[in-house]
Amino acid sequence: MRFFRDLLLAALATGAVLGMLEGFLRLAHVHYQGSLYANENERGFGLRPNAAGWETDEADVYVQINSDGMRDRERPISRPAHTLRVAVIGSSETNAREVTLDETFEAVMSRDLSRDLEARGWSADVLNFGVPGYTYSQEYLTLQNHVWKYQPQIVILLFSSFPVLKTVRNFYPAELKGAPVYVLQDGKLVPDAITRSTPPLDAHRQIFKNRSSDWMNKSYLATLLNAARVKVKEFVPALKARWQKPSATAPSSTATSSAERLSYNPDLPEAQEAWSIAEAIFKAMKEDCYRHGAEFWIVMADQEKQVTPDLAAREAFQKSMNLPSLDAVDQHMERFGAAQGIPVFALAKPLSDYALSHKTYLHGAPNSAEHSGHWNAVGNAQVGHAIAKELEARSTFVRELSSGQLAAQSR
Amino acid sequence: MTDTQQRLQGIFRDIFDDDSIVLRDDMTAADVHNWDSLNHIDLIVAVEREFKIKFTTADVTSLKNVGQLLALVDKKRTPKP
Amino acid sequence: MSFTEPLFLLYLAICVVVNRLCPKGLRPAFLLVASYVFYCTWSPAAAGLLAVLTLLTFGAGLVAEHARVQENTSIAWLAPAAAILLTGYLMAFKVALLTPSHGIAGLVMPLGISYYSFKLISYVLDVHWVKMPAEKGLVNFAAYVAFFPQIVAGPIQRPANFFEQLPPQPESVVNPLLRIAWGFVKKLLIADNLAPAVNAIYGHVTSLHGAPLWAGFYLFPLQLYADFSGLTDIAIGSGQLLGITGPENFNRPFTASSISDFWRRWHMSLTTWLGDYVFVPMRMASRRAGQWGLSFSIAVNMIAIGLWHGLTGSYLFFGLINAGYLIVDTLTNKRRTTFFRKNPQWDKAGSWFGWLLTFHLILIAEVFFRSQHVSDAVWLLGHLWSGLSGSLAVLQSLLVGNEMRSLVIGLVGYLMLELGERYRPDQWLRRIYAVAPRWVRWSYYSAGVTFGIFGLALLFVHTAGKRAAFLYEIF
Repeated sequence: MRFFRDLLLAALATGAVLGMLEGFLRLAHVHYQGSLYANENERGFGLRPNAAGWETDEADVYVQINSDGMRDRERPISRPAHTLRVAVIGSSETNAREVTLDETFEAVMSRDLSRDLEARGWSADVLNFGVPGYTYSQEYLTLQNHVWKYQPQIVILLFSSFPVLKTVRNFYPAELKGAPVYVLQDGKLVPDAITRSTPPLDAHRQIFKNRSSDWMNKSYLATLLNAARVKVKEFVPALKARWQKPSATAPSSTATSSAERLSYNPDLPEAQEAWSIAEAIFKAMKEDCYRHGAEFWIVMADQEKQVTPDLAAREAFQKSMNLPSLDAVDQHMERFGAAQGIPVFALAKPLSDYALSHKTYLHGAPNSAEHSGHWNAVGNAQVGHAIAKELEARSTFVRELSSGQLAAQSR
Repeated sequence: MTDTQQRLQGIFRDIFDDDSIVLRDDMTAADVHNWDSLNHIDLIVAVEREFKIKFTTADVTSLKNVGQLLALVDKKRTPKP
Repeated sequence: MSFTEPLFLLYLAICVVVNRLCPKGLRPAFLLVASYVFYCTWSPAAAGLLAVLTLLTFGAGLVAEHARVQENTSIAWLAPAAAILLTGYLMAFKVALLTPSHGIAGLVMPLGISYYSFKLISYVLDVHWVKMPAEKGLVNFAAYVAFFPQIVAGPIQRPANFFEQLPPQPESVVNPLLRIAWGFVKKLLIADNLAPAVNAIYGHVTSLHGAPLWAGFYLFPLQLYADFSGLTDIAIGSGQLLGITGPENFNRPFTASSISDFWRRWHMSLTTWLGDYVFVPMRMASRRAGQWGLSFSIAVNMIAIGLWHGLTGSYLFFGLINAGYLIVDTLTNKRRTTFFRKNPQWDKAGSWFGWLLTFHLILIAEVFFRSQHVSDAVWLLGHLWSGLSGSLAVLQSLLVGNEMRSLVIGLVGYLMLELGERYRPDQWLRRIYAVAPRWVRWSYYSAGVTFGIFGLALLFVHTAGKRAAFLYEIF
C-alpha cells in the first residue's frame, strides 16, 4: 500500500514539475512549431481543419486554420450577393504564415478592392488557398476540388519558380513521397504510376494522428518535445553532412543548387522537363477556370535579389549567377501568358520601385537569415496593393464592375 | 620551541599583523588570514633579513608549508663544509 | 565539436562508459586517445603540433632532471629555455592573429593553445624548481596536456595535481552531472540571452549615448561571468565524470571587497598560474627594490593577464588599468586596515562602499576587455552621462525582434544565478534528500529525469546546427 501511495505522491510531484516548466515557457513567451498539417488521400497533405498553433520558422506568428482547411477566417461557402471573390492558389508565399492574418497580402488586397468597389455597393473577398510546400500538381487539385464551391469570379495563381522543379518526382523523391505528381503522356497530363498505385490512408490512424496533434498544440512543453524529436531525427544525417563537407565536390545536379539557379534562369537544361509539365498544368488550370466562367491570372512573385534595396548586392549576385538579367523567369512567363491568352503580372517591378524609394527590405523576418525568406509585413502590404491595382486596371470583371457596367448583377 | 621557530613566529605575527598566530609544521597560506602571493615575498624578505640568509626562486616556489620553510631556514643557516 | 553541442554530450557519455569499463591501468591511455580524437575534430594538423610540443617538453623535463641529479650544471638553462620557447610559440600565434592574412596561409589559432602552452610551461618550470619530479610516463604526461575537458577553455590544472589523481577513479555520477547541467543553464539560458543585447550595444558603440551605454556597461560582465563560469562547470564536471577533478576558476567574483580580493576570485587557475610563474619570480628578482619592485611585479603580472587574451590595445589597456588598481590597493592596504581598526564605527559602511567601488572599477576595466578598439571603450565611458533623455527609447529600438525578450530572460536568469550562489539551494536540497521519506526521494529522481529531458530538448532545439561559441574558447 505504501508503495502505491509513494508512487502516487511522486507522480503528483512530477506533474507539478511539468506544470512549472509549462508555466516558465508560457511566461517567457517561448514558442515552438505547432502541427498544422494533416495527411490526405487526394493531395497527399493539406492544412488541418480547425488546427491552431505557432509558426516559428521565420517569424513568431499564431496561425489558425478554419473549418475548411484554409489559413483564413471562417467564411460562408456560397458567395454572398454583391461580393467579388478572388481565389489565390499557391504555396508558402500565398499562405503568408510569416505575418498575421490582417497583414497578409490577401487581406490588404481585400481592403483595397472593397474600397474601390464601395461606390458600386460591392465588397471584395480574397480567399487564401495557399499551403506551404505545395507543388503545382497539388495546387491544380486544390483548384479543381476545393475552390469552385466558393464561386470566385477571379482565380489567381501566385507563381514562383522554386516549385517548378517539384513537378518531377525524381528531383525530390523523399519530399514528394505520398504527394500526387503528374507526367505528360502524348501531351496530356496524367497522374504518374506512383500516384496511381499509392494505397489510401488508414482513416482511423489519421484521425488519431490529427487529434494528438491538436492536443500537442495546446501545450508549449509538448511542442518543445516535438521540435526536439524532429532535431534528433535530423541528428545523424546532419552529422554525416558535416563529415562530408570536406569532399563537397559532389555533382552539381543536386536539386537544391538547381533550385536557386532556376529561380533566376528558366533555360536550365535539366529543368526543361519540369517546365513543360508546369506549363501544361497552368494551361489545364486556365481551362478549368474557363469552364467555370472565372478569370484566370498568373501573378509572378518576386525573388529576393530582384527587390533588395542594396543595388550593389543585386549586381554582385547577377554576376555570380552569370546572367544577363535577374528578370529572365518573369520574361519567360510573360511570353507564356501572351501565347496562351493568360493575363500575367510580374510583382518584381512595383516591389523593387517601392524598396528602392523607401530603402526598405521586403523579405526577411526575425528568425530567418538577414533579409531573406518570405515577404514580411511591408512586403505583403506592397504585394496586396500591387495586385489590387493591377486587377483594377486590367481585370475585365473588375473594370466592368467599377464602371457600373455590371450594375446590380452578380455573375 | 627552537630559537628559529620563535623568531619565525615573530616575523609571521608582524607581517600578517596578527599576534595570535601560532606556527605549526603543516600550516599553509590557507590557514592564515591575509597571507597571499602579494605579501608572501614580504614574508620571505623579512625571513632573509632576520636570519641573514638568501633564498633562490626555486627555494621559494617549492615550499609547501611552514614546516618546509623552517627546514629550509635551518639548512641555509648551517654553514656549508 | 563544441561543448554545447548534443554531439559533445554523446561523446562524453561514450567516453565515461568506456573509461569505467577500462581496467584502471589503461585509463590514462584511453583518456589520451579520447582527447586526441576530440582534438582532431577541430584540426588534425593542430593535433600533430600539440603532439610534437608534448614530446619535446616531456623530453626536456627528463633531461633537465637527469642533469640536475648528475649535478651537471652546463645544461641548467634547458628548462628555462624551454619555458621561454613555449612562451614564444604562444606569442607567435597571438601575433599572427593580428596580421590580416593570419600569417601562414590562413592559420587559425590551434584549439586551446593558451591553455596547453601554460600547462607545458608550468611543468617544465616545476621540474626545474624541483617542485615535482619529472613524469616518467609519456602516456600520463600527454594525457595531462591534451585532457579534452580542459583543452577548450581550461581550467589550467597543475601537473602534480593531475598526476596524483592517476589512475582516474570516477566515483559519483550525480554531482558532476548536476554541475554540467548547471553549466549548460548558465551558458545557454543566461549568457546566450544576454549576448544579443551586449553585441548590439558594443557593435554600435560610437553612435550611442546614455542608457544603451549603461546597459552595455552592466550587462557585459554578467554575460562574461555566466559564459565563462558555465564553461568551467562543464569542463570540471566532465573531468570528474572521467575521474579527474580540475581546479576551480571562480569564487563568487562579484562579491569581492577589494581589487586584490577580486583577482583571488576570478579565473583563479590563470591568476594563480601567473602568480606562481610570473609574479613570484619577478618579485623575488626585485625584492630589494621595496615598493617599486612590488609595483613593477604587479604591473608585469597584470599586463600579462591582459595580453594572454590577445595582443591588442584593448587587452593591454585592460591589463594596465588592473595593474594601476592593484598597485594602489596593495600599497594602501595596511593604511586602510589600520584606519578601520581605529574607527570600527565606519567598518560596515566601509565594507559596503569597498564592495561597490570594487565592482564598478572592475566593470570599467571590462569595458576595455570587451571593446574592439580602445577608442570605443573611451567613447563608452565618456558618453555614459551624455544624451540621457530619450536614450531609453534608443535602447529599446536597438533590440529588434526577440532580443528584448532574450534580455529579460537573461537578466532574470542571472538574478537566479547570484541568488543560487548565495543561498545554495542545492546544498539544502541535498540535506533534505538525506533524511527524506521514500516518496520524496522518488520525486527527486523523477524531477531530475524530467528536468533532464526538458534540458536536452532545449539543447537539441536551440543549438543543433548552430555553433554558439563560448567567449573563452578563442584563447
